[in-house]
Amino acid sequence: MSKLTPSQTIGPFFHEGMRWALTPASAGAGTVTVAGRISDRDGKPVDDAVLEVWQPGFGAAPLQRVYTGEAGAFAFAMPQPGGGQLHASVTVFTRGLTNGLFTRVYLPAGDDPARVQLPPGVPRERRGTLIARRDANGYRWDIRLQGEGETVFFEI
Amino acid sequence: MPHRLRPIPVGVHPALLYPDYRSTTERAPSGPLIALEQSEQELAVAHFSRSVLKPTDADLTRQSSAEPLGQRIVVAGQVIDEDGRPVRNSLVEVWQCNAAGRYHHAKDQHNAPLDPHFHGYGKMLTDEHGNYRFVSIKPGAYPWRNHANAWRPAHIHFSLFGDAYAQRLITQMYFEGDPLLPLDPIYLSAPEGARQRLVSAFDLSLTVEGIALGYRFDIVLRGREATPMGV
Repeated sequence: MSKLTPSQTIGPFFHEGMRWALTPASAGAGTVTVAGRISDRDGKPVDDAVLEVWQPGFGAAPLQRVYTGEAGAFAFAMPQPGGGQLHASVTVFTRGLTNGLFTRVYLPAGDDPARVQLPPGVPRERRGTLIARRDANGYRWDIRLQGEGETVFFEI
Repeated sequence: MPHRLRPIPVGVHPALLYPDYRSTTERAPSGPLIALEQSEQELAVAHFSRSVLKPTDADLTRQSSAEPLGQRIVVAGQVIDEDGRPVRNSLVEVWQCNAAGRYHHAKDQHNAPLDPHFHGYGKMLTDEHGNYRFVSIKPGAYPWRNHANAWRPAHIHFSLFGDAYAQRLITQMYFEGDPLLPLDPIYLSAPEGARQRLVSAFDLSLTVEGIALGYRFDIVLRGREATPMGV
Protein backbone atom coordinates (compact mmCIF):
# COMPACT_ATOMS: atom_id res chain seq x y z
CA MET A 1 0.00 0.00 0.00
CA SER A 2 1.29 3.45 -0.86
CA LYS A 3 1.85 5.99 1.86
CA LEU A 4 -0.32 9.08 2.04
CA THR A 5 1.20 12.48 1.30
CA PRO A 6 0.98 14.77 4.35
CA SER A 7 -0.79 18.11 4.28
CA GLN A 8 1.02 21.44 4.65
CA THR A 9 -0.35 24.88 5.32
CA ILE A 10 -1.61 26.89 2.35
CA GLY A 11 0.49 29.81 3.65
CA PRO A 12 -0.26 33.50 3.04
CA PHE A 13 0.63 33.77 -0.66
CA PHE A 14 -1.88 31.60 -2.53
CA HIS A 15 -4.08 34.41 -3.86
CA GLU A 16 -2.59 34.97 -7.31
CA GLY A 17 -2.33 31.27 -8.12
CA MET A 18 -5.87 30.36 -7.06
CA ARG A 19 -7.60 33.50 -8.32
CA TRP A 20 -8.58 32.03 -11.70
CA ALA A 21 -11.28 29.91 -10.01
CA LEU A 22 -12.85 32.61 -7.83
CA THR A 23 -16.61 32.85 -8.11
CA PRO A 24 -19.02 35.77 -7.65
CA ALA A 25 -20.98 35.74 -4.39
CA SER A 26 -24.30 36.10 -6.16
CA ALA A 27 -25.58 33.40 -8.46
CA GLY A 28 -28.82 35.02 -9.60
CA ALA A 29 -32.50 34.18 -9.33
CA GLY A 30 -33.52 31.47 -6.91
CA THR A 31 -30.35 31.82 -4.85
CA VAL A 32 -29.47 33.53 -1.59
CA THR A 33 -26.25 35.06 -0.33
CA VAL A 34 -24.59 33.63 2.76
CA ALA A 35 -22.20 36.18 4.25
CA GLY A 36 -20.02 36.11 7.33
CA ARG A 37 -16.62 36.59 8.86
CA ILE A 38 -13.81 34.32 9.99
CA SER A 39 -12.09 35.12 13.25
CA ASP A 40 -9.30 33.56 15.30
CA ARG A 41 -8.72 32.78 19.01
CA ASP A 42 -8.68 36.46 19.91
CA GLY A 43 -11.61 37.40 17.71
CA LYS A 44 -9.24 39.02 15.21
CA PRO A 45 -10.40 38.81 11.59
CA VAL A 46 -8.73 36.15 9.45
CA ASP A 47 -8.15 38.17 6.31
CA ASP A 48 -6.09 35.63 4.39
CA ALA A 49 -8.33 32.57 4.13
CA VAL A 50 -9.90 30.84 1.17
CA LEU A 51 -13.21 29.01 1.42
CA GLU A 52 -14.29 26.31 -0.99
CA VAL A 53 -18.02 25.76 -0.93
CA TRP A 54 -19.15 22.46 -2.41
CA GLN A 55 -22.77 21.82 -3.42
CA PRO A 56 -22.71 19.23 -6.18
CA GLY A 57 -26.40 19.60 -7.02
CA PHE A 58 -26.25 23.39 -7.28
CA GLY A 59 -26.28 24.01 -10.99
CA ALA A 60 -25.38 27.69 -10.74
CA ALA A 61 -22.11 27.10 -8.93
CA PRO A 62 -21.38 23.59 -7.61
CA LEU A 63 -17.91 24.62 -6.42
CA GLN A 64 -17.37 28.16 -5.23
CA ARG A 65 -14.01 29.54 -4.16
CA VAL A 66 -14.05 32.78 -2.20
CA TYR A 67 -11.35 34.75 -0.38
CA THR A 68 -11.74 36.60 2.89
CA GLY A 69 -11.10 40.32 2.79
CA GLU A 70 -9.69 42.79 5.29
CA ALA A 71 -12.36 42.29 7.92
CA GLY A 72 -12.27 38.51 7.48
CA ALA A 73 -15.47 38.81 5.47
CA PHE A 74 -16.67 36.33 2.87
CA ALA A 75 -19.85 35.68 0.89
CA PHE A 76 -21.11 32.87 -1.29
CA ALA A 77 -24.34 31.67 -2.88
CA MET A 78 -26.70 28.86 -1.95
CA PRO A 79 -30.03 27.84 -3.41
CA GLN A 80 -33.09 29.45 -1.89
CA PRO A 81 -34.40 26.91 0.63
CA GLY A 82 -37.75 25.54 -0.45
CA GLY A 83 -39.50 22.64 1.23
CA GLY A 84 -36.57 21.25 3.19
CA GLN A 85 -33.35 22.29 4.86
CA LEU A 86 -30.22 22.65 2.75
CA HIS A 87 -26.55 22.40 3.48
CA ALA A 88 -23.26 23.15 1.75
CA SER A 89 -19.87 21.61 2.49
CA VAL A 90 -17.24 24.23 3.25
CA THR A 91 -13.47 23.79 3.40
CA VAL A 92 -11.35 26.47 5.07
CA PHE A 93 -7.69 26.95 4.22
CA THR A 94 -5.49 29.64 5.72
CA ARG A 95 -2.07 30.42 7.09
CA GLY A 96 -1.84 28.92 10.56
CA LEU A 97 -3.87 25.84 9.62
CA THR A 98 -1.65 22.85 8.91
CA ASN A 99 -4.55 21.21 7.07
CA GLY A 100 -7.85 22.26 5.55
CA LEU A 101 -10.86 22.27 7.88
CA PHE A 102 -14.13 20.70 6.76
CA THR A 103 -17.37 22.13 8.01
CA ARG A 104 -20.96 22.59 6.82
CA VAL A 105 -23.47 25.39 6.77
CA TYR A 106 -27.19 24.62 7.05
CA LEU A 107 -30.11 26.76 5.93
CA PRO A 108 -33.32 25.97 7.86
CA ALA A 109 -36.45 25.14 5.89
CA GLY A 110 -38.44 27.76 7.82
CA ASP A 111 -37.11 30.29 10.27
CA ASP A 112 -36.67 27.88 13.15
CA PRO A 113 -33.05 26.82 13.59
CA ALA A 114 -34.08 24.40 16.35
CA ARG A 115 -35.67 22.16 13.74
CA VAL A 116 -32.55 21.74 11.61
CA GLN A 117 -31.35 18.15 11.55
CA LEU A 118 -27.57 18.00 11.96
CA PRO A 119 -25.22 15.01 11.65
CA PRO A 120 -24.98 12.84 14.77
CA GLY A 121 -22.20 13.79 17.14
CA VAL A 122 -22.66 17.56 17.01
CA PRO A 123 -22.99 18.71 20.65
CA ARG A 124 -26.26 20.51 21.32
CA GLU A 125 -24.55 23.66 22.58
CA ARG A 126 -22.52 23.95 19.37
CA ARG A 127 -25.38 23.43 16.89
CA GLY A 128 -25.67 27.13 16.24
CA THR A 129 -22.20 27.26 14.70
CA LEU A 130 -23.44 25.25 11.71
CA ILE A 131 -26.73 27.06 11.07
CA ALA A 132 -27.02 30.30 9.10
CA ARG A 133 -29.51 32.91 10.31
CA ARG A 134 -31.64 35.15 8.16
CA ASP A 135 -30.77 38.81 8.01
CA ALA A 136 -31.67 41.78 5.85
CA ASN A 137 -29.31 40.72 3.06
CA GLY A 138 -29.90 36.99 3.04
CA TYR A 139 -28.16 34.76 5.54
CA ARG A 140 -25.44 35.32 8.10
CA TRP A 141 -22.94 32.60 9.06
CA ASP A 142 -19.67 33.30 10.89
CA ILE A 143 -16.72 30.99 11.38
CA ARG A 144 -14.74 31.02 14.62
CA LEU A 145 -11.55 29.00 14.25
CA GLN A 146 -10.78 28.81 17.96
CA GLY A 147 -12.22 29.95 21.27
CA GLU A 148 -15.69 30.93 22.42
CA GLY A 149 -18.29 29.85 19.90
CA GLU A 150 -15.75 27.76 18.03
CA THR A 151 -17.22 26.36 14.83
CA VAL A 152 -17.75 22.61 14.59
CA PHE A 153 -15.25 21.08 12.18
CA PHE A 154 -15.55 17.55 10.86
CA GLU A 155 -13.30 14.63 10.16
CA ILE A 156 -14.57 13.03 6.96
CA MET B 1 -22.81 3.51 -5.49
CA PRO B 2 -19.48 5.16 -4.71
CA HIS B 3 -16.94 3.67 -2.35
CA ARG B 4 -16.22 5.59 0.84
CA LEU B 5 -12.68 6.74 1.54
CA ARG B 6 -10.79 4.93 4.25
CA PRO B 7 -9.96 6.83 7.43
CA ILE B 8 -6.65 8.68 7.46
CA PRO B 9 -4.18 6.83 9.71
CA VAL B 10 -2.45 8.72 12.49
CA GLY B 11 1.06 9.88 11.68
CA VAL B 12 0.27 11.30 8.23
CA HIS B 13 -0.99 14.86 8.58
CA PRO B 14 0.44 17.47 10.96
CA ALA B 15 -1.38 18.13 14.20
CA LEU B 16 -3.55 21.21 13.80
CA LEU B 17 -1.90 22.73 16.86
CA TYR B 18 1.86 22.76 16.28
CA PRO B 19 3.18 25.55 18.52
CA ASP B 20 6.58 25.78 16.81
CA TYR B 21 4.57 27.11 13.84
CA ARG B 22 3.36 30.05 15.85
CA SER B 23 0.18 31.06 14.08
CA THR B 24 -1.35 27.62 14.72
CA THR B 25 -1.76 28.72 18.35
CA GLU B 26 -4.20 31.45 17.25
CA ARG B 27 -5.97 29.60 14.48
CA ALA B 28 -6.09 25.85 15.16
CA PRO B 29 -9.45 24.70 16.56
CA SER B 30 -9.19 23.57 20.17
CA GLY B 31 -12.15 21.21 20.01
CA PRO B 32 -11.82 17.71 18.56
CA LEU B 33 -12.89 17.18 14.96
CA ILE B 34 -16.27 15.46 14.88
CA ALA B 35 -16.50 12.28 12.82
CA LEU B 36 -18.85 12.74 9.86
CA GLU B 37 -20.08 9.80 7.85
CA GLN B 38 -19.22 10.38 4.19
CA SER B 39 -22.26 10.94 2.01
CA GLU B 40 -22.37 11.11 -1.76
CA GLN B 41 -21.63 14.81 -1.39
CA GLU B 42 -18.20 14.14 0.13
CA LEU B 43 -17.49 11.45 -2.49
CA ALA B 44 -18.31 13.54 -5.53
CA VAL B 45 -15.76 15.95 -6.96
CA ALA B 46 -15.62 19.04 -9.11
CA HIS B 47 -14.55 18.24 -12.65
CA PHE B 48 -12.50 20.74 -14.55
CA SER B 49 -12.44 20.81 -18.31
CA ARG B 50 -9.17 21.09 -20.23
CA SER B 51 -10.64 24.30 -21.60
CA VAL B 52 -9.72 26.06 -18.33
CA LEU B 53 -6.03 25.45 -19.11
CA LYS B 54 -3.92 27.93 -21.03
CA PRO B 55 -0.90 26.57 -22.91
CA THR B 56 1.47 28.43 -20.57
CA ASP B 57 -0.18 27.20 -17.36
CA ALA B 58 2.25 24.27 -17.18
CA ASP B 59 5.30 26.34 -18.12
CA LEU B 60 5.96 29.09 -15.59
CA THR B 61 8.98 30.25 -17.60
CA ARG B 62 6.79 31.30 -20.54
CA GLN B 63 4.16 33.49 -18.93
CA SER B 64 5.82 36.77 -19.82
CA SER B 65 7.51 38.49 -22.75
CA ALA B 66 10.93 37.26 -21.59
CA GLU B 67 12.30 34.40 -19.53
CA PRO B 68 12.52 34.67 -15.74
CA LEU B 69 15.86 34.56 -13.95
CA GLY B 70 16.85 31.39 -12.13
CA GLN B 71 17.65 27.74 -12.57
CA ARG B 72 15.10 26.12 -14.88
CA ILE B 73 13.49 22.97 -13.46
CA VAL B 74 11.01 20.34 -14.58
CA VAL B 75 8.77 18.93 -11.84
CA ALA B 76 6.83 15.79 -12.64
CA GLY B 77 5.17 12.94 -10.85
CA GLN B 78 2.19 10.67 -10.56
CA VAL B 79 -0.90 11.25 -8.44
CA ILE B 80 -2.21 7.93 -7.14
CA ASP B 81 -4.36 6.76 -4.26
CA GLU B 82 -3.21 4.51 -1.42
CA ASP B 83 -4.06 1.44 -3.47
CA GLY B 84 -1.92 2.60 -6.35
CA ARG B 85 -4.83 3.64 -8.58
CA PRO B 86 -3.98 6.63 -10.77
CA VAL B 87 -5.96 9.80 -10.10
CA ARG B 88 -6.92 10.80 -13.64
CA ASN B 89 -7.95 14.13 -15.17
CA SER B 90 -7.67 15.79 -11.81
CA LEU B 91 -6.78 19.40 -11.17
CA VAL B 92 -3.33 20.27 -9.77
CA GLU B 93 -2.54 23.91 -8.96
CA VAL B 94 0.96 25.11 -8.06
CA TRP B 95 2.42 28.39 -6.82
CA GLN B 96 5.85 29.49 -5.65
CA CYS B 97 8.19 32.42 -5.09
CA ASN B 98 10.83 33.50 -7.59
CA ALA B 99 14.52 32.59 -7.62
CA ALA B 100 15.27 35.39 -5.16
CA GLY B 101 12.70 34.19 -2.64
CA ARG B 102 9.97 36.76 -3.37
CA TYR B 103 6.34 36.04 -4.22
CA HIS B 104 4.46 37.99 -6.84
CA HIS B 105 2.00 39.02 -4.13
CA ALA B 106 1.06 42.39 -2.67
CA LYS B 107 1.58 41.22 0.91
CA ASP B 108 5.07 39.80 0.42
CA GLN B 109 7.32 42.49 1.90
CA HIS B 110 10.58 40.54 1.72
CA ASN B 111 13.36 42.82 0.56
CA ALA B 112 14.37 40.70 -2.42
CA PRO B 113 13.82 41.67 -6.05
CA LEU B 114 10.63 40.90 -7.90
CA ASP B 115 11.16 39.35 -11.30
CA PRO B 116 8.83 41.05 -13.79
CA HIS B 117 8.95 37.91 -15.91
CA PHE B 118 7.94 35.45 -13.21
CA HIS B 119 4.45 35.22 -11.75
CA GLY B 120 4.99 31.87 -10.08
CA TYR B 121 1.73 30.03 -10.53
CA GLY B 122 0.30 27.42 -12.83
CA LYS B 123 -2.19 24.59 -13.13
CA MET B 124 -2.67 21.36 -14.99
CA LEU B 125 -4.84 18.26 -15.18
CA THR B 126 -3.32 14.84 -14.59
CA ASP B 127 -3.35 12.55 -17.63
CA GLU B 128 -4.95 9.10 -17.92
CA HIS B 129 -2.12 7.60 -15.85
CA GLY B 130 -2.32 10.25 -13.15
CA ASN B 131 0.84 11.96 -14.35
CA TYR B 132 1.50 15.68 -14.26
CA ARG B 133 4.47 17.76 -15.38
CA PHE B 134 5.37 21.43 -15.37
CA VAL B 135 8.36 23.66 -16.06
CA SER B 136 9.45 26.39 -13.67
CA ILE B 137 12.51 27.89 -12.03
CA LYS B 138 13.90 26.75 -8.70
CA PRO B 139 12.32 28.86 -5.94
CA GLY B 140 14.60 30.63 -3.48
CA ALA B 141 14.57 30.42 0.30
CA TYR B 142 13.13 33.39 2.18
CA PRO B 143 12.98 34.70 5.73
CA TRP B 144 9.77 34.83 7.75
CA ARG B 145 8.89 36.13 11.19
CA ASN B 146 7.96 32.91 12.94
CA HIS B 147 11.05 32.94 15.18
CA ALA B 148 14.52 34.49 15.26
CA ASN B 149 16.45 34.02 12.01
CA ALA B 150 13.69 31.88 10.52
CA TRP B 151 13.98 30.86 6.85
CA ARG B 152 11.63 28.80 4.74
CA PRO B 153 13.38 26.13 2.69
CA ALA B 154 12.78 26.28 -1.08
CA HIS B 155 9.33 24.89 -1.75
CA ILE B 156 6.46 24.77 -4.24
CA HIS B 157 2.84 24.81 -3.05
CA PHE B 158 0.53 22.15 -4.48
CA SER B 159 -3.28 22.04 -4.43
CA LEU B 160 -5.01 18.80 -5.47
CA PHE B 161 -8.68 17.99 -5.92
CA GLY B 162 -8.33 14.21 -6.35
CA ASP B 163 -11.37 12.11 -7.24
CA ALA B 164 -13.51 13.09 -4.24
CA TYR B 165 -14.19 16.19 -2.19
CA ALA B 166 -12.86 14.32 0.86
CA GLN B 167 -9.52 13.77 -0.94
CA ARG B 168 -8.79 17.50 -1.22
CA LEU B 169 -5.17 18.15 -0.32
CA ILE B 170 -2.98 21.23 -0.12
CA THR B 171 0.67 20.58 0.53
CA GLN B 172 4.22 21.74 -0.21
CA MET B 173 7.03 20.11 -2.16
CA TYR B 174 10.64 20.52 -1.02
CA PHE B 175 14.04 19.75 -2.56
CA GLU B 176 16.30 16.99 -1.30
CA GLY B 177 19.41 18.02 0.55
CA ASP B 178 18.09 21.44 1.59
CA PRO B 179 19.90 22.35 4.82
CA LEU B 180 16.89 24.41 5.98
CA LEU B 181 14.56 21.40 6.14
CA PRO B 182 15.49 20.26 9.68
CA LEU B 183 15.03 23.87 10.90
CA ASP B 184 11.64 24.57 9.33
CA PRO B 185 8.62 24.22 11.63
CA ILE B 186 6.21 23.91 8.70
CA TYR B 187 8.11 20.97 7.21
CA LEU B 188 8.59 19.54 10.71
CA SER B 189 4.87 19.85 11.43
CA ALA B 190 4.38 16.77 9.25
CA PRO B 191 5.07 13.74 11.45
CA GLU B 192 8.42 12.01 11.38
CA GLY B 193 8.16 9.08 9.03
CA ALA B 194 5.75 10.97 6.77
CA ARG B 195 7.49 14.28 6.14
CA GLN B 196 10.13 12.72 3.89
CA ARG B 197 7.30 12.16 1.35
CA LEU B 198 7.22 15.93 0.86
CA VAL B 199 10.77 15.99 -0.48
CA SER B 200 11.16 15.69 -4.23
CA ALA B 201 14.03 13.68 -5.68
CA PHE B 202 16.45 14.83 -8.35
CA ASP B 203 15.75 12.61 -11.37
CA LEU B 204 18.15 12.57 -14.31
CA SER B 205 15.49 10.95 -16.50
CA LEU B 206 13.29 14.03 -16.10
CA THR B 207 16.14 16.41 -16.78
CA VAL B 208 15.94 18.07 -20.20
CA GLU B 209 19.42 18.06 -21.67
CA GLY B 210 20.78 21.55 -22.00
CA ILE B 211 17.60 23.11 -20.60
CA ALA B 212 16.35 22.15 -17.13
CA LEU B 213 16.99 19.92 -14.10
CA GLY B 214 14.33 17.33 -13.32
CA TYR B 215 12.68 16.64 -9.97
CA ARG B 216 10.18 13.87 -9.23
CA PHE B 217 7.34 14.40 -6.76
CA ASP B 218 4.71 11.67 -6.51
CA ILE B 219 1.58 12.35 -4.51
CA VAL B 220 -0.61 9.79 -2.73
CA LEU B 221 -4.25 10.59 -1.87
CA ARG B 222 -6.67 8.61 0.31
CA GLY B 223 -7.74 5.15 -0.84
CA ARG B 224 -11.22 3.67 -0.83
CA GLU B 225 -13.05 1.03 1.17
CA ALA B 226 -13.34 -2.36 -0.55
CA THR B 227 -17.15 -2.38 -0.62
CA PRO B 228 -19.39 0.37 -2.00
CA MET B 229 -21.66 2.51 0.18
CA GLY B 230 -24.85 0.82 1.24
CA VAL B 231 -23.51 -2.75 0.88
